[in-house]
Amino acid sequence: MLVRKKQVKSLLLYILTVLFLLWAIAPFFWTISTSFKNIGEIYSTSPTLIPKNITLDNYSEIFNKLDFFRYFLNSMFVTITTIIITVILSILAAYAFSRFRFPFRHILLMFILVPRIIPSITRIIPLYQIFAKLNILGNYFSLIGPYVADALPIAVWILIGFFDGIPKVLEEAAMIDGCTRMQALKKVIIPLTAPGIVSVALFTFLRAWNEFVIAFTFIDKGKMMTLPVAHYRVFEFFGLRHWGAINAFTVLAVLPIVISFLIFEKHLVKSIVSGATKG
Amino acid sequence: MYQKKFLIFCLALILILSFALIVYAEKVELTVWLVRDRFAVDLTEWNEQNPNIKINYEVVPWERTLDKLILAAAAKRAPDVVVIDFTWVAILGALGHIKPLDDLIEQYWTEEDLNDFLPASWGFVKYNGTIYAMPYANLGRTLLYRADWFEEAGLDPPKTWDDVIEAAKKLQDEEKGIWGLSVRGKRDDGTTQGWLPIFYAMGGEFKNEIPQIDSEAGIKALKLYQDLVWKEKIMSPDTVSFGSGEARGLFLAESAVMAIVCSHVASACVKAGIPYGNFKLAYIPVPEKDMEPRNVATSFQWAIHTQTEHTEEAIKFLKYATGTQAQYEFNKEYQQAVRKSVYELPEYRQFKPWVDFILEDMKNMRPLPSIPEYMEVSGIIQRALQEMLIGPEADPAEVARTAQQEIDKAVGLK
Amino acid sequence: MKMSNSIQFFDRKKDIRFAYTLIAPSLIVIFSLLGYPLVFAFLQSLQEVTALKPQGVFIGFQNYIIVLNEPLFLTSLLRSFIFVVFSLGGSFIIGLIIALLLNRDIFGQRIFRALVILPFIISEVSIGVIWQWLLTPQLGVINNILKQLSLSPIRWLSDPFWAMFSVITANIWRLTPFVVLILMAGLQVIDKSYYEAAYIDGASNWQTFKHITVPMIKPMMLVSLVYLSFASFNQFATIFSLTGGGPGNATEVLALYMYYSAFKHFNFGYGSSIAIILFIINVILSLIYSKSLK
Repeated sequence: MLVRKKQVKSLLLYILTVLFLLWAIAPFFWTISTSFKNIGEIYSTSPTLIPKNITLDNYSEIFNKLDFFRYFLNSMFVTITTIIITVILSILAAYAFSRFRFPFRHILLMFILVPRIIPSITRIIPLYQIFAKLNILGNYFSLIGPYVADALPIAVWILIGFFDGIPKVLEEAAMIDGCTRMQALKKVIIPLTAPGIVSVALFTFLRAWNEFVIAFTFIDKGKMMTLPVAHYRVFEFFGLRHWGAINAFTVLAVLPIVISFLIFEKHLVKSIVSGATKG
Repeated sequence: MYQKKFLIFCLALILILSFALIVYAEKVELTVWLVRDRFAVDLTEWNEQNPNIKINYEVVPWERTLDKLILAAAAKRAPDVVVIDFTWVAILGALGHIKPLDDLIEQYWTEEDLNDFLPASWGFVKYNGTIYAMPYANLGRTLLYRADWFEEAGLDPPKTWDDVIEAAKKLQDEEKGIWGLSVRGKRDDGTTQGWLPIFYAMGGEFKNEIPQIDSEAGIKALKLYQDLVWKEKIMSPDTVSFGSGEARGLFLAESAVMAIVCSHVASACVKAGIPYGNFKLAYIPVPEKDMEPRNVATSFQWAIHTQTEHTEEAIKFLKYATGTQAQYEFNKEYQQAVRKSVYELPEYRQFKPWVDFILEDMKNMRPLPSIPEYMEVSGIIQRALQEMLIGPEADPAEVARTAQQEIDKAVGLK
Repeated sequence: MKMSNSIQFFDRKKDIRFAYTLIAPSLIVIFSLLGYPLVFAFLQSLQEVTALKPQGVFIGFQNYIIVLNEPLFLTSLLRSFIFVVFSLGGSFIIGLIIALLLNRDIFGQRIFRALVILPFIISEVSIGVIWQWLLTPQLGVINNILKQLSLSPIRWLSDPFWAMFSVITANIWRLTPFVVLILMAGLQVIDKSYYEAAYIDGASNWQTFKHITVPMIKPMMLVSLVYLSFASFNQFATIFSLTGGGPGNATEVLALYMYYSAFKHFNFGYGSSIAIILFIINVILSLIYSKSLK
């Protein structure tokens, strides 16, 4: 009897779990489903989850009428550049903080970590004005710069943690064997902190790829839009709310993230968690 | 040794620079902002005639053009040529962002050519008596209605608001999701532009271009929106979120008996499979039978930004863009042309069998208020309308009074 | 020779300079693109600067006086507050439940865990688009489902109350996975032996939860609450793409109000003062949190 009760309880909890899962995923299904429907079905008063007539028209419209690949490449360019710069700068800084004792060390560390509490949205007005004066608006560096600045504090913090975990004797041994500091860094430390670097890279990737406000406000030219901006503009482009195409765009916009997520799932989870437990 | 190297380096640099200058000096590039991609004039002939002037189209959606234009000007990144809505002429002219064209028109256009423009169209490009843009297309609101459904039910074409309400109640169908009337209600200028004709036809007046909302006609027009949603129930309560797409979308999807939308939605109807005859156009409804129809309209035209460094080339492009061929191509399935020669083309009439109605309607039109504070005034009107659309309890007289106070303050009256 | 090398790398002066060179680029980037803009915003907030009058006029704290007396500002602040409180409550509770549910050894646990994270990693614009499609008048499927259940459809995006409800829901949908992740990280380090001991002692589920689970994941819970509050209070993109602040002003939270004052009404000075106020509120929030962590 007790076993039965337990089994029933287990089953109920399992169903509950599935329900919550559906809550998280159902909207995606609906979007995907709509992206394969034709106008008639979209406007029908009794829509179905699985389209009666699957059509690829919406997707072909996106690829033909819009420069989807262009936006994708723009996002790639901006994101990858951001990641590279962030990784390099944060490795150098974290290494210095971890391995050296120098005057003002504590204060400088604060200077790097504390700015994290400045919410990204507060910067947009002053950055806009500053960049306008410097005439960098409309240039990708007006995006990359703020993205790097946004990611650096956490990146440095994460990497310091990793570097601290590697005993100094390893580099000392390498240097005794004739390496310079930088070589020691490259050959010994970095391979050992690889997971940390991957963490930083993924974290930066997530923030930079999805960023909207800055990209939307600073970039004027249609051709230079990043994916989130293009996604938003699709509303206006398709004036009469061509929902089929809009949903197709959503699917395409979400796909890169989902795919990278499937590949890097474990690391991504780790980097999100470590990125947040800053305290 | 170093001196020699240095000299050679300098010489090479000078050579490269001058080469670059020569090559690039030839090519002029004009940045042209369009409010919709349909405004992109076909460039095949242009490129043949002007191989050294490259046109770079940039679509900056209407909803954001004015904001972006002002921001761009402040950041010194303004385009050379821009399509502007008439409601922006006053503010841009007052700010000195667009070039006055009177002298340039005298210089570059012939009398004959200028006479081809409908005389009324010049009223839509002026601020303070100065011409700031070349006329291109007129855009007014009309009442589109399902003539076929009206006929079936034995109803006459709608002239007054009572006609509209009666027809809507008879013909709308809640089960099928068909509403009586569809209008814009979202918080943007399109909503104001859709309501001011109603206000004007109701008897509303403009004093020195300032709409007198706090008047009998104004209060009536405000109350109308409220009643149509909450009392007569012929407009959807979702109207408050309807933008350009939704308002016309309802009619095009055959989910509305009537719609007060831009007159060019008529062309979209034909394209959507509703033949002319099944739908027809009518004047903006008046409160009483014998009142004269009145309408308020805007227009789209081409302007040159003062920050341009290529005025001559810009003028050339303006001539090209506002020529008969370009106007015909643009307006035949879209807005209303402003050149007589276009109306005389039999093909134009084929695309638009309702052309005579348009010409008649244009006679009853006045332009939207041409004041630099128009966008602020529009915002105040939008808020008032949204209050009416959201709340059945809102008091129209109160709302009208508050709106008028804010409007007067915005334009600098005490 | 090699021995003197090893003594050489303890050369303090050179090391110190080296260290500074390593951290300089990061410092410069952070200072110029994170720190300086804040200072700049503060200076701008003391001026009357608009896009129509780009050269500012010094007016002291007038902008702040106007802002703090402006009803539109106060209502947007109130909206932000409501938005945060409900987003926090919703995503925390739901996140906790999901974390507890997923913490068990069940079939497909790994896949569930992976899938449940999706709403958090997509762009906020995508979230706005997806939810608008679900809730849009006429065609939104949620209303369709309601109709089929014989319930009356709701005007999700046209009614001020429901619009706020919708943006809060979308925000909860987005942030819950984060809570799940953080809490699960905490749950998974709890030694099973504690649970076994409690079970043997006859403790009920609720007692186990209250006295074992909660204390052990308290730090994680706090971390998630902190993140949730900041993420929600400074929220912009989701609301912007879902409702744009509408209908009327119903969903215009502080971040949107700030953005619009600068980029729609062209008042950069005024917008900057709101930015500074936003920042100050963030600082106050973090102070409150760090106090409670102690």
